[in-house]
Amino acid sequence: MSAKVVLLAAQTARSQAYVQTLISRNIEIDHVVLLEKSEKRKGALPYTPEACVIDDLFVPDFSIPLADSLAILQCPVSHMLTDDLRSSELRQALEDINPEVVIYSGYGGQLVPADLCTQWDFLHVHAGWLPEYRGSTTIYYSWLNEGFCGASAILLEPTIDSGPVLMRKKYAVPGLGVDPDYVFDNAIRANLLADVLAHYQENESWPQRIVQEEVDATTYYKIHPVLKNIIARNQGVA
Amino acid sequence: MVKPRNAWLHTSRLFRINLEFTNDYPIKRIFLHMNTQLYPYAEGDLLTDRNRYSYTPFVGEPLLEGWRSSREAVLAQCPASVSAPQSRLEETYHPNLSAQQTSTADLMEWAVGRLDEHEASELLNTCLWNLMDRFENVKRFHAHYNERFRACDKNDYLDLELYVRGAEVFQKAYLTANKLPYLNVLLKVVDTLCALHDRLDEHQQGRLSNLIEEERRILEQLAIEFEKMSCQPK
Repeated sequence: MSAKVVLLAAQTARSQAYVQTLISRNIEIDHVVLLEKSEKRKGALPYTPEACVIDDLFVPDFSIPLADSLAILQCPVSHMLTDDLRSSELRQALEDINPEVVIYSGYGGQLVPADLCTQWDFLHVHAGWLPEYRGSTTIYYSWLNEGFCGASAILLEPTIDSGPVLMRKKYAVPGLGVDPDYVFDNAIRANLLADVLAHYQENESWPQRIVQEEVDATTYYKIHPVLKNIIARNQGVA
Repeated sequence: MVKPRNAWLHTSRLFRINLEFTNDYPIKRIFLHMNTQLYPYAEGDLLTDRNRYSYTPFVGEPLLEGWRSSREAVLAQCPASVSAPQSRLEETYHPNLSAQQTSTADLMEWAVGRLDEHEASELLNTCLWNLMDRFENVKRFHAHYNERFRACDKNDYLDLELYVRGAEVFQKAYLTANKLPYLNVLLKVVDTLCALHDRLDEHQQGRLSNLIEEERRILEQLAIEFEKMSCQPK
């Protein structure tokens, strides 16, 4: 068995956003490997966000179960009875599928083991403009620093957010009524994923492969709620 | 140097609640309960039950109001503000980050000295970044770090002077470099200090008052600059 593009998905809002967006753009996936959720993993939304509109972006409907969207994709789905990226079951599944590229959409807080991301190209979309905005909650930091949000498509390397940049894009900050954490973050990642995959499928190559300059890189940590809510107040949330 | 309590407590946009309320014990209890609900990040034993700051609410003014009143309640219980002391280290000290054991207190004192002298260096940046990384990741300062900048003794994190000094270091670093990561970690260290303020000695409490007042000034300025930037045509 050999598949060009594999989606490594999980029971998360991000995977819902990815699959719905790819369907909306008619981008085909050859195989899905679905990591089943265990008690310790939390990926689903704590609530269903209200419907909203974001200019020029497809906004996923998080009330649609992932399984329903996967059925529309009409590609084979391998169900892994684990969410452990180090499991032999997952490695065996990937070896059997033999992908050219694996879209990474696993559970939050997990790092793809070095042996996997050195054997296959793992495509990851970071919600931040790389290399300037590495780390956590970077849409807020670039919003506060420079008035924009960004996303970067990279190939994963063992060190976090450091792989070559395939494509990056700036987005206008979300308007009033758009949940930045759950809706906007996932919507911009999915949008860039669709753009980079569309290019890959059309040209059989990545748009670029730019090595990140360490001198430009800054790593950010989870944003403090006061900084986040200075942004919210300015946006007119309350 | 001891500074008088500033009038801004009564007038500032960021701190609206009059301090006189806090002298009335029953009202103060209600007030503190409200703080906990609106701003739960500076309550409890934060060195044991550590904040995670994950998916914090995006609600604007109510959270800021909770933060203001939470900080103000701490100020009401602390003496007047005292400036950060000058570095207590000899000029000859030079940190060696590849040593098997580095004293966190010495490293912080050295950083204060360099920041006060406005000296920039790669070593200073690395020290600041390592200290920030440790606090952001484990929400504690340990007494000594090894050559990989990990705690030499994982149980040795209860010296509150390190938290006061660490906050002073990050405040100076932010004012020098204007980088948000330093402000972000400063806010988190001050949360920890506020939660534990009754364990500080009087001098440390005065320094905490100073940190809270400076924090407010910094955030007011940031909010103004952010508002200006947001109003500019794209």
